[in-house]
Amino acid sequence: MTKKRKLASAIILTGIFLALIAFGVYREEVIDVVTNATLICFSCVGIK
Amino acid sequence: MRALGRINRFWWQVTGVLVFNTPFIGPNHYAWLTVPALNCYACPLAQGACPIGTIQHFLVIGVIPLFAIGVIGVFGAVAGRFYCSHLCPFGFFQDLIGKLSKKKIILPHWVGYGKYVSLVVLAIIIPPLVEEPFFCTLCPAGSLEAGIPIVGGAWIETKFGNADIFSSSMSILSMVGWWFWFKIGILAGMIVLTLKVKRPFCRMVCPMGALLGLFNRISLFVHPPSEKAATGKGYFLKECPVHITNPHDVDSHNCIKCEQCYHRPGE
Repeated sequence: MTKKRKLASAIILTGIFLALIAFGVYREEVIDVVTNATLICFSCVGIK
Repeated sequence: MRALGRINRFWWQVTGVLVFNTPFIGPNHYAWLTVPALNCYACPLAQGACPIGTIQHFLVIGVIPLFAIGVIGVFGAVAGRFYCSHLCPFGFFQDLIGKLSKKKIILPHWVGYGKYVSLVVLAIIIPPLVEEPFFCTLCPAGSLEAGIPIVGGAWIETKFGNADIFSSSMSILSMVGWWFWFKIGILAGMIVLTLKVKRPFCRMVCPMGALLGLFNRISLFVHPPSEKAATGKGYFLKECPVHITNPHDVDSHNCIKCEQCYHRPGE
């Protein structure tokens, strides 16, 4: 793959993923990400 | 990226541990960000969200995690598995354990596909069925970063502190059962395996490595200069931390873009 094509494909890919992020923010997923990350994960600790 | 690569990888890794698990400031200052490494967010020092834990959580509640996939995708498109070699705390842990033993077993190339089985089965298919983040219930990084500090801390508090029967430490200890010890056993097994195999978890199990590995050949930061890629020669693979032995596998999904194969041993 030439450098230009590689750069172009990386930019397109990044654009697609940035659009996913934007849609996720629009759907208010970030609130759920924060809530999930700040609650203690019993599965991770190994206790039930 | 090449210039950044000249900074000793050890210091990158120390920075990664401190950025993702910062002491003294309290946990989760950027909990909205799924970090580009397998860093347990149940760790008392954790900053940011574990990407695999986040994806599983969304699958359990029946939502496709667009935000998390987007963040992982952007990180992957920029540098592929660069984060595995330079920032991942559990990768760093394996590197340190691996230094205790010089003789290592070379595994066949195909074992690297194990991490895709782990991603699809343990982190995508099973969590919605059992309604819990199933990969986390087995994850040795979780045992190391969350299980041992939290349960150990609770034990110390009840033993030497003034924890009463209604304290959180007592309730944590009351929940410790066989599953906790099973998880500790998985961690112990991984440590023993790390003495004989270079970075076994990263190569065979890590679902985050599997996701980032998809971007390895197309990311902006690509390993081989074109002339090396064309000839397949000129790499110094003896020191490769994931035991890549074939030059054509440099930048494959198993490669963690550590740049060690760029330099002669001792360089």
